[in-house]
Amino acid sequence: MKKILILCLITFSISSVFANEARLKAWEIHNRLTGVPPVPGSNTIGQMENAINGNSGIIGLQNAAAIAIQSRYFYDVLLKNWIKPMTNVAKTKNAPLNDFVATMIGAIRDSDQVGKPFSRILYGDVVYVGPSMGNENFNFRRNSNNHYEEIEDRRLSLKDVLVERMQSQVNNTESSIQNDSRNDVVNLLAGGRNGSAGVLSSRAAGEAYFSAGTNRRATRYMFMNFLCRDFEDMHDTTIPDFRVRKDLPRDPGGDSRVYKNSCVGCHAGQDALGGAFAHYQWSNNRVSYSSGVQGKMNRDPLFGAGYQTTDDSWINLWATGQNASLGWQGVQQGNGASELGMMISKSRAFSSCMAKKVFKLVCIKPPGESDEAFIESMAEELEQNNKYDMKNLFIKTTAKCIEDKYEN
Amino acid sequence: MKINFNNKAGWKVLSIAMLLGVFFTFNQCVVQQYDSVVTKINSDTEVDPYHSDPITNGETLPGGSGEFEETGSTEVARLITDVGVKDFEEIYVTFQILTGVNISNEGTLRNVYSDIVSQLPFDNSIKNFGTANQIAIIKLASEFCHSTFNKSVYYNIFFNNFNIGQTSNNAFSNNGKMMMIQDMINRFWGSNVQPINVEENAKTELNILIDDLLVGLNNSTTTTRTVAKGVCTSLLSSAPVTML
Repeated sequence: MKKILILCLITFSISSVFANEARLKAWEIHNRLTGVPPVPGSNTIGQMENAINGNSGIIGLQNAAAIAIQSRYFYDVLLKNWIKPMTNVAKTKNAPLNDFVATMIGAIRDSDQVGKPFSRILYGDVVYVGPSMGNENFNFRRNSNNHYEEIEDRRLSLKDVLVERMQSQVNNTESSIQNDSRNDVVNLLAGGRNGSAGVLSSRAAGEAYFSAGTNRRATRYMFMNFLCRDFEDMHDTTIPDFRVRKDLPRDPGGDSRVYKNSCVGCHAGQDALGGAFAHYQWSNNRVSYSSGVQGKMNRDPLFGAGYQTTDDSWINLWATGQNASLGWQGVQQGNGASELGMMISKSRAFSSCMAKKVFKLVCIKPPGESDEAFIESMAEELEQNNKYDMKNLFIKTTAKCIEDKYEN
Repeated sequence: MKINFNNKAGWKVLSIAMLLGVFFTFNQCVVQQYDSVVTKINSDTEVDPYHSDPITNGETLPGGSGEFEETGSTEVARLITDVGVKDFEEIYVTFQILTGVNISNEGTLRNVYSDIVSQLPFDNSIKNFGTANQIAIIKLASEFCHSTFNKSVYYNIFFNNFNIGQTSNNAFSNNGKMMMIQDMINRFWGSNVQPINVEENAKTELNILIDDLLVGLNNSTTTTRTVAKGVCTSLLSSAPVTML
């Protein structure tokens, strides 16, 4: 009798702990990666369970995550609400779908395709748009966000409806987005790429970062969103200040020490980069790109000998000194937002920032010291062969979180 | 240590160990504390790392954009956890998926969501989760369950085994109650997903809930659906559905 009791206890404890573990892991992976559980009645969780049981350890978990990431809700729920805070100054997800969000979602969806690295969101002549909506008011327009809001209201599957277009060549009012013919498209902006620089020149970014002001917001939020650093983190008073603009007083409050010891620490670097956005303006509800420098770049000349912006050239003065630790690679000066975005996207800081952001999103905690090696390995993997495969990053990070949770 | 199975004490030790093992295994619903807690505590003696001690040797700068730091004035607030709660849209879409309600056809439900969206959890941090959030979740869950069991287009295909078309006297035999509860658990919590003891505890509580709900109600199919709404609301607003 006692033996039977013991056997029952053993059986119960083992079965209650382990019998459902693969399914529980599958359930958690799906919820972490999509924000929602598998659809009842679907065989998704069964497939994921088989994937976990089929390969022990991290490989099985990765295979299960690769199944979950195929859900439309990875795009419609998780990614959408992850990206929205990047598109507004308040950093809130209480914002409508817009071209910035759609372009990032589309780029993540396609990041496993050859020649479509995710990093192009910072420099590519690319925008993702939805289908023709059957109503001109809801079709894509450069001066309205109705198109994207309607996509969200109708709960269209972002995984399925988003198509890639050249940002410089999408017409102002496109009534037939699904028509691939580009022959009749008029370039609305001045020649060449017309300032197209991925999400940096998107309408949502323009509304948030080019409206009024001095366009410095564009640089600051680019650093926060894609390098995980605010300017305070870049503060370095040792670099030269020859690119600090005229509108910055050199003796705030009558004390030049404040400028030399505080202001210059951020402005020397950011103003040297900010020239990239000299041609952009937010007007008439759209991003406008002029061939000349916008007046806002040189207004309020509080210090006449300050830097006069005459073109959209930029130089990365933070490439040396303490901020060399961001792992800059390639050319460190250029013209325009696209070349700046290219430089940003090639830095190690960009790769590790994406890895950290994804880690925090799916692990629901910031990476700790013990996770540094993993973050570094993911950053390296992102950069491998210039692939920047974000779906791979999401899959491997989710698998690691679940493995850590159950193995440790 | 070798346990002698012919020894009475050996049996006792093994039994107690097994029971303790079972007990502690399922004592999971606690915030886990990590050894390397990342904290940023302001104090009068703290040195500003940016302005008084700039790093010039190429090391990583302290801090960051702030989004990866757990700040707070209390130890609990600075704890790093690996459990979270779904945010407002994740909860909304989760409820749609689990109940099968087509939100496009449910204007009232959409209005309720619009009214209470600000009370639902805003982000995934369990530390920001409060009573008002849970009340809003229950409110939203009850509306979804109301819609589910008010329209035959939904409730007729909801259950795998339980017959929702029966009158309450026929539906809620002991076997019938278990059938409804198991169907709902399988649908909302996943089939064979949750630990067995979690499911068993839930079944016990839901059994009592059904009995309580039946008190004073007449024998009808409406009563069956009313009780189903109650069980549905309890399970839909529960942690296995709303937690990450």
